Amino acid sequence: MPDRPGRGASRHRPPRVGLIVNPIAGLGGRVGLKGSDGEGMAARAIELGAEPKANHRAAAALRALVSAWPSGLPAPELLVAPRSMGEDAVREVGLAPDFSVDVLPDPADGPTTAGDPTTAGDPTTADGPTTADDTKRLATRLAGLRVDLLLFAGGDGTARDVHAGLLGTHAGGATGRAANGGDLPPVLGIPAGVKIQSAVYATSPAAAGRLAAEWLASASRKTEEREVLDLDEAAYRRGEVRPALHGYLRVPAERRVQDRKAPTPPDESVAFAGIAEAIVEQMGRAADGMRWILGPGTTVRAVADRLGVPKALVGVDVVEWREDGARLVAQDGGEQAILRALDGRSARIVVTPIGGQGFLFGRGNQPISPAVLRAAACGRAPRDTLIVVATPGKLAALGGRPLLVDTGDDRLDAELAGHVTVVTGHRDRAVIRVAVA
Amino acid sequence: MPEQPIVHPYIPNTIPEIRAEMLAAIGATDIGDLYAEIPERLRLRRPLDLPPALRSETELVREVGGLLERNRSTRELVSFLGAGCYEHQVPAVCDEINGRAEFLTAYAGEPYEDHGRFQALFEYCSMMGELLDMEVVNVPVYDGFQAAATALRMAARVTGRTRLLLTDAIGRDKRSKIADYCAPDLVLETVPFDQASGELDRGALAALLRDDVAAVYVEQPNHLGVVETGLAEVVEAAHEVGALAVVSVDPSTLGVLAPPASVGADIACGDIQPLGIHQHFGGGHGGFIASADDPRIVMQYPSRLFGIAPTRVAGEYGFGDVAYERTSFALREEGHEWVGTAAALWGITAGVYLALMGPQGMRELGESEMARTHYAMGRLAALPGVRIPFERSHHVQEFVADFTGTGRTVADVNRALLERGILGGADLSGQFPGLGQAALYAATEVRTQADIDRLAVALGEVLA
Amino acid sequence: MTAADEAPATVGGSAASVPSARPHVSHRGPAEAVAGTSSPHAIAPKPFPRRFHQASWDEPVIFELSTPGARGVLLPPIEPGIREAVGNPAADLPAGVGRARPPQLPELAQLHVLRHYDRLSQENLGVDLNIDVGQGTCTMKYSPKVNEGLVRSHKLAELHPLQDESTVQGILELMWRLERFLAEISGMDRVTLQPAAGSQAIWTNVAMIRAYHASRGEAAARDEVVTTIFSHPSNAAAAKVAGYRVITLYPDPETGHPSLDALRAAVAERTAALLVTNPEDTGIFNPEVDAFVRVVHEAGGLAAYDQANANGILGITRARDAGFDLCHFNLHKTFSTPHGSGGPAAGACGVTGELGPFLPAPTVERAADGTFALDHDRPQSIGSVRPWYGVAPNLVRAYAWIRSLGPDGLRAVSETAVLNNNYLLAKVLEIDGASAPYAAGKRRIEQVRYSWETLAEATGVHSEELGVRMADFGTHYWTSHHPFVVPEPMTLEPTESYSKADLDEFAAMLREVAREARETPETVHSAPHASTIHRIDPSWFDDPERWAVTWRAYLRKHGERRAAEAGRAAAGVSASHAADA
Repeated sequence: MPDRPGRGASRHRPPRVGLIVNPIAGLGGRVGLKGSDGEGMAARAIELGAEPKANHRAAAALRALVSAWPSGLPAPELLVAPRSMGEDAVREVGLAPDFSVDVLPDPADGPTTAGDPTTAGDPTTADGPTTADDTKRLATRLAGLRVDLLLFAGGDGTARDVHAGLLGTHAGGATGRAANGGDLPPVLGIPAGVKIQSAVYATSPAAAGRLAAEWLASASRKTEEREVLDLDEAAYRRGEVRPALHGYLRVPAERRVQDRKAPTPPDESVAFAGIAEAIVEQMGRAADGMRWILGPGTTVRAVADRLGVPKALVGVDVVEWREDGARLVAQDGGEQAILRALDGRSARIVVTPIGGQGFLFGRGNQPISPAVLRAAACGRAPRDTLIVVATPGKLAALGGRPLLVDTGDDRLDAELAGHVTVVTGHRDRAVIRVAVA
Repeated sequence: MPEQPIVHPYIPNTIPEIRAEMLAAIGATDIGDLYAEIPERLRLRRPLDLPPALRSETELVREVGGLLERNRSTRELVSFLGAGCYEHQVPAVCDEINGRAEFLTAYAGEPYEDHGRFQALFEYCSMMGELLDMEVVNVPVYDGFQAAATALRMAARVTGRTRLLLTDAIGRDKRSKIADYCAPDLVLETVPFDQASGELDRGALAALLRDDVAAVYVEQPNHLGVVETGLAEVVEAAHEVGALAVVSVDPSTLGVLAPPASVGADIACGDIQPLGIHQHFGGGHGGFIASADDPRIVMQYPSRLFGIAPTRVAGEYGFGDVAYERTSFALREEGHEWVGTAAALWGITAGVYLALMGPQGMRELGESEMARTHYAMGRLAALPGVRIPFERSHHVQEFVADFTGTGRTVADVNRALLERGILGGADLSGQFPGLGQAALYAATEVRTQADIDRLAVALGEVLA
Repeated sequence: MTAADEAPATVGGSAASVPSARPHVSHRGPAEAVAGTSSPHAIAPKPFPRRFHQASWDEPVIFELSTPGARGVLLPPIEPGIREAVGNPAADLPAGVGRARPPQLPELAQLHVLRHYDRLSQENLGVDLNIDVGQGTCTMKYSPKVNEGLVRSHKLAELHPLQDESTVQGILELMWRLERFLAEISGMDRVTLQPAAGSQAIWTNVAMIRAYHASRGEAAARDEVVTTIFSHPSNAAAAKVAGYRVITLYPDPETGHPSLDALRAAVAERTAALLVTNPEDTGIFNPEVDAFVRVVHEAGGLAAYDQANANGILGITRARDAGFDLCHFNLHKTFSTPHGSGGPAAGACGVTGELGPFLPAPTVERAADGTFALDHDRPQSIGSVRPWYGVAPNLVRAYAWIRSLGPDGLRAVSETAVLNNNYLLAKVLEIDGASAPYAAGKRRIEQVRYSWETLAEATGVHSEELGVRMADFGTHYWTSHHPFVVPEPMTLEPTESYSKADLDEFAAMLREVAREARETPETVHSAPHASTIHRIDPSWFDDPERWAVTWRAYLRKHGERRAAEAGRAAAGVSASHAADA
């Protein structure tokens, strides 16, 4: 959700930028391994002749950042992870003396948690292995140092680790917001991995560097929440693409060139507010006591915000709406909890497509199962219980491709297919085709 | 006789050989191939029923120029018409610059290859800012009607309120446009003008003002040509209840009249046609909106704001859109205001005009208008049966003359004046029946004493 | 970097400026790259595409050119007779009503005003100077010079809109005839020329739709309007102004236009109207458009045709023949009136006889005796949408343009626009990294929305950056309306005004810029290099503390910076103009 007024560029305080590199990201791709996550995969890739590129890609991003930095503003302070986890990239660019660079202590010096299999040891340096835990700990530490922006180079697994590390610093949990009112620091991914599903990455290292520079120099520092997605790598190596939603991170909103021939494109927050207003108006017209199932995602969270109920950003909630207000009846529930919350009554389901592929069901919102869909419909067509919400920007990114359903129940998928009306603003709707994945 | 293919001077690729070459390059046999996606049933299977082409410029000028010849312009007739469109001196340099091909035929390029357009419009806004004593001025909207309607919507967004109080001394077509644009969520109420002075009835205003009022809208001078000498009190009364003061002002009067900002007005608006733009049968309008540099108001402009900025070369000026991502549109107004092609060339022209006039020129303009208008008021007041209802009020370039006492209608009087080569004042009897057989007479800096004397003599004859 | 093992280690000193780290970029423009010369003294042979440098006068802001006391223009003196009779009424204005302090306008002699604006004009491109095919959807075409002479006549420029009708018969007849021409071109029964521009014409149509349903007692029941994502966004915006809910249809990924099934899913008894462009901004013509209209009619709605993209279909297919109830033209697009750096423009709306009573008032009517009059007495009219009767100079230009072409010429305009477009399409598709999404292999009408997605993915260079780099070749292009349905978009509309050689040259520029994106991307990122000015720091524009919309705001916020820069400049070169007041 954009956007509280940020700490904008100041002519007095240099911005503080953190950098983490996952040195083994991208190793698998060129040797046909489809990713380096998982025990031993990196070593296998090296054996097959892969060369680590992540540091070069991080260096390319830094070069672009330096090149795009406006004269007259104090240069950013860089806080970088040691050795191959960031320092090498800085060394490659040769930032001194214009930028001040602080190297963080080795993450291995910190308290260790149980090993995580998502990233494996780094066999390329003598510094010892880097692990997913290193990424997490570094992210935690950089958040504590109040960086204005955290850059990280890697792939989907890296984004997941950064997300986990940042969450660990705050009590906000899955809502992506800290209980103390603070936010997770904005991040930006430098693409270095084989598979990039997560929307937290720039399109290229150079694009990441330029965006970082422009954003840090801007007064508003607007951000947008983007999905952290990761594939099941084992399934991926078998040829199945099953992205799962892990959470959301705030990324710099890209300032695209101004469109001089048309109205100002509305900010995403305008669309969110409009969608929420439309849904709440619809609730007002529905029967008192009606149950509303709210799926995951920032767009749906805007509805919960408007209702004044808490929302599990990656989970499914159920609210009951009455004239005197909304009441949460199930929070972050699984299939059974939701079915219990429905209590045999019909319900409406508010969902937004997840990720770039436009999945309506089957990715990230599994608690809204076939059983839930049928229960909510109470004998009517399941499609009629759906209220699909999405910003115009999200629909535009589909380029005309249909929304997809993959509930695991073929008959239900077929019933859901057809054209659906999507709420895109207060008085804006779109008609979009739904197809079976 | 076999038909010759037309090679038209406006269409270079009508040369048959080139056409054939291009068709071959794209694998088409004839032009019809290119329309393959338009089904037969939708095709027009006959030539358009239009007059044949006038091949030469000679024929074209004879035909179109001949039509225009049948008009009689204000250069041939002596015109006392105003009411929102004015005959002023248009410096030759204004026409020269707005005829420059680079400005005339450009559209929406970037602030690099079209730097000149951005700078010229920034300068226009800057000079308007000096005239208005305000730091924010927009790139022109369609016209003064649109500017007023938008300014009021901005005021409603700033205050979060929905009642608008409008002076009754406003043109009826302008009020209708404002009402239409502000419907259905904003409520318009009318504040009467004082029948003796023609100024806003401040007692009536006080009775209507409550803390649900978004804006008080007045005009300076108002549609009856009267200077609102109580503007400061009107603004203060609005501010007391937390409402904004929106003041429409004729920029040609600002050499002599205090700008609305000097008495605390929040938003100024108006039309730039008087600033170096011909009357064009009503086709020469552009609207301005201006305010202090207060982000609370700036974020409510729906229209373009051009700002100055440094480039990567020290000392160099660049320009671009300020606060481009304005996010504070209220929900009811999603898409309520759009930015389209409006009146940029007139904005550039008005900038040229202000640069030519300078502070002295604007002062002299206002003084000249005032002197001529007051002179004309005196001449008409001396005619039997003609009354100048707001005679004791200040006027700049227009005044109301009431012919009720002559027993003649304005339409009747104007017909008779036309026979004598004079365009009498705009007929107010339909729009302001309360004023009787009233006409609005304008006397700008181009109306000579001889013109005004001729009017007085002619009226003397007509009314005799 | 020395103390890497100590943690945390500070590398380098404190922050300083960074230009030393910026890669060197040639400021000599594209010619150098093409010619492959590195000597700053050698002039390379004339390359293709041409080398270009935009005029760059280092022209000050006009306030910096001010000399106190200078006069640009004088006014007629006030006659002694007037002075004697009334004195100086301005001096009698009460305190606080009269202006206390003169406006701080610049003071310049006439030549200096002229020279300043002539220089600024040179720092601008127009259709008359560049191959202006890059501003897709805008229909940038030649505006004939002979028409400029016509509109500058005092017989038009010095007409007041309230003159007695007997004194303006020529312009009224011209307007009446132009309405008849546009009625024939669209197939509609009545036309109004009142709208100031295309967006206002759309609004006029929406207002008539609302009035029509209101006249049938259905105003409240019909509260939805259907449009498409590739129609101009003003369709949705105007509908919302009028209080409608808007349903947008997205394209079928194959055909590029919405499917009839999608329309059926959107249309209901609540539907007030369909607002649609055809061909859409992709240049794709929806061949089922008449079926679309039928579906809407069957539900009791009206259908309005946004003919902003009419330049390829004049005399080929007509709005009425597809069943539409309303349509509008942009006279500054299809009918050649110049764009004026962003207006004044002109719009025209056409309607069926059934909708005639709702047209804006006044209308131009021809009496039995052949005279023309304005009819204000139209009880069902939506009223007036702008002051007076339309942008008269542009109506004269459009009329003259149609007369200079005739029916055969108009058809030649459209056929050539379509030929040019399909030719340029073939040329662009030969460039590695460019594509034309949707309707592969099909012909387009008068424009194409291309995508540089492949190039952007390979190089990290965005389409808008390529557009800025095109400025170094003496032209420009536009991307697309938001949101970008076509990723990394570029919309090109090569109207009938351009020759084959023009199109070849434009395509060569695109090819060159795409090559640079691949081989020397920094050249594109840091563009422009041959423009009036260099890359702008945009961070001022969204910072209330730094933005400056007027010169006075600039002086207030940045006066010190300016003084410092002026001091540096003066140390090198003697200033030739006085500082401003």
